[in-house]
Amino acid sequence: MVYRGLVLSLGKDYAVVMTDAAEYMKVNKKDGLAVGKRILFLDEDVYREKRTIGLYLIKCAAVFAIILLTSMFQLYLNEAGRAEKVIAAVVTIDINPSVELGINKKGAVVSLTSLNDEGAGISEKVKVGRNINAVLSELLENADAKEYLSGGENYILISLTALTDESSVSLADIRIAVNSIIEGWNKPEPINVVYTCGNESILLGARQNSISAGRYYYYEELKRSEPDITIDAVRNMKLKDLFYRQRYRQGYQSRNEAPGETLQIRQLTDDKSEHIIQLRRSHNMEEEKSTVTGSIYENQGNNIKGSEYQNRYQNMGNDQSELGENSNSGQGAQSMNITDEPEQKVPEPEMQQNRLQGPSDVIDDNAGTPTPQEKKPENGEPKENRKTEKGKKSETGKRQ
Amino acid sequence: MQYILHFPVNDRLENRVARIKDGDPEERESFIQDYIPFIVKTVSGVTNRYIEYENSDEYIIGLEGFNEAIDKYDFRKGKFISFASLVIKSRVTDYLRKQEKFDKELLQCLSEEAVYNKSECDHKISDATDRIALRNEVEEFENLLKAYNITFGDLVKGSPKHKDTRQSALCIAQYIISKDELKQELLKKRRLPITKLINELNISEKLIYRSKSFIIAAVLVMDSNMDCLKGYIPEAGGGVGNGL
Repeated sequence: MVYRGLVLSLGKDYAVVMTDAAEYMKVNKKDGLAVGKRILFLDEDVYREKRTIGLYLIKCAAVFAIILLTSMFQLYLNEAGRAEKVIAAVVTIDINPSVELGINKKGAVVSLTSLNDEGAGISEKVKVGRNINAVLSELLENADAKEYLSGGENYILISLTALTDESSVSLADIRIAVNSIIEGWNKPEPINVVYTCGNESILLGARQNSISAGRYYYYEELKRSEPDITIDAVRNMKLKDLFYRQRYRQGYQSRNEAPGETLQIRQLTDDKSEHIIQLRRSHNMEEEKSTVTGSIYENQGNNIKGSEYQNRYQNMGNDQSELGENSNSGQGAQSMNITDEPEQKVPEPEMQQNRLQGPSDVIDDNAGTPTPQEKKPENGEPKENRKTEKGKKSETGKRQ
Repeated sequence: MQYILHFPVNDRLENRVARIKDGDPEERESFIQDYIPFIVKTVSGVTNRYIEYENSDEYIIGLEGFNEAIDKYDFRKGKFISFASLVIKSRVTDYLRKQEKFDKELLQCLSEEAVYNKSECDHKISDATDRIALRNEVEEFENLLKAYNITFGDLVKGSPKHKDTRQSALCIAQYIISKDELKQELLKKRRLPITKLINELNISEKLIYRSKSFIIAAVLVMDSNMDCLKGYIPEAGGGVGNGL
């Protein structure tokens, strides 16, 4: 069919014409076209947007390739990922924020759940899949940035529940990691960290009540002496109160000491300006070991002498057996702080060392606690730390 | 196989030519009418341009050539179509050569004001001026549309393809022109008063939305003094576009 059209404008490959039928069309460009010319053209002259077959095919091929690759990738991930995603241990952290980390066999964090709003606040933007030290570091940094660890005494409660026999991370590892992070901050105020061990039943109970395993452990503990205590009370209680009440329950008379280890920066009074990190704890390094292994220890500070300690300890041991399932290593983790203690406890470590074997035996009965073998390496590490510190301490004449 | 398929067609074509030769003038008319697209295509192929339909000499040459081919066709020398194509091409080529000379002469006319061949000069000049006038109108139209953010390309995409739809769209445009307040609203707001139109004319939303730019363009032409362009609008109804 022949059309009559008026040329309205010229483009690169085409010209716009308006036909006698008031239809606007594009036609292929030919020589001699000018705006205002009236031309005759045929259907075959109508402009068609060029669709390069080549480009189209390439695009199709690309899309297809992407789909293929992603599906293959998915399958691969599913295959390989399964093993890596199995949670071998659960770590909960409470400051004000409360979070729960799932750790796999290799010690990498595979899940991060926040158990309260503040927890969400510190865990946003924290990526999983990395080593636990990295994640811990980020979480603690975030908590610090949000001022949860400033102004006065601060408490952190960390609990570890091992879900399989081969546990990839031990309380010792966590402790070392946390300690080094906190040391790096050089804060003047003390930060007390309490480490506890948990087992599956505690974890279950905690999950059912939307509370961290650490706090739930305390709930179960406190319930023994205060049957009216509620989950919410424990959920909202300040950690300091939680710890004190537990200690009180355990019959400690002195309530002056803050539970947990305190990392404190002290500046040498000499002109040496370097900071030293002082671990204040109830006892000496050996007790560190006890915390590490999760065994129970008890220390009352000034008044404790060897025998007394032994008695105490026995009580604790009994307590332990009472508690039965409860992996009470948590209690042990409460390393009590003692204010300046002039006494030297050098002989005691040996005793405590012996003691350690006991509770750890008890603990072994509980599920989810580190096996005896694990203690040994842990013993090694902290000991070294201690040694250096101890050395330093002796320089300054201060007691650990 | 091909031979069998073509055979009847050829037969018809050649038969027609035979009949014309025998003296059937009506057949000649209708035959030429049918083959106008063919003529246009052939001529256009030679010149590599589009044929202009106003005073297009090459078009006339093409027609004459086709006519000549009918008269001179010899059945024994092959198919008619190829023969006609040949004749047309040669006639057009001859014409083109002559045209070159002509254009030079036109330039002379314009520059020297020579009274060489005045009537022809005038004729050529008036052709040129017509074209210039039209071009100016088109440019004016383009500018008007720009104010409404419409380009010619938009019009190609946004105007209805179906003749009836275009008719309705033109009616809407006419209505807007007749109602001053609607026209003012369009001119001021740069947008169609769609709701009013829907209510007053009882048409569907879809119709208006699909032919929005078309309607605006039509209104702009009608409301202006672009006479040449105006000429295109009423013709839309008649549809002279189908064949010449």
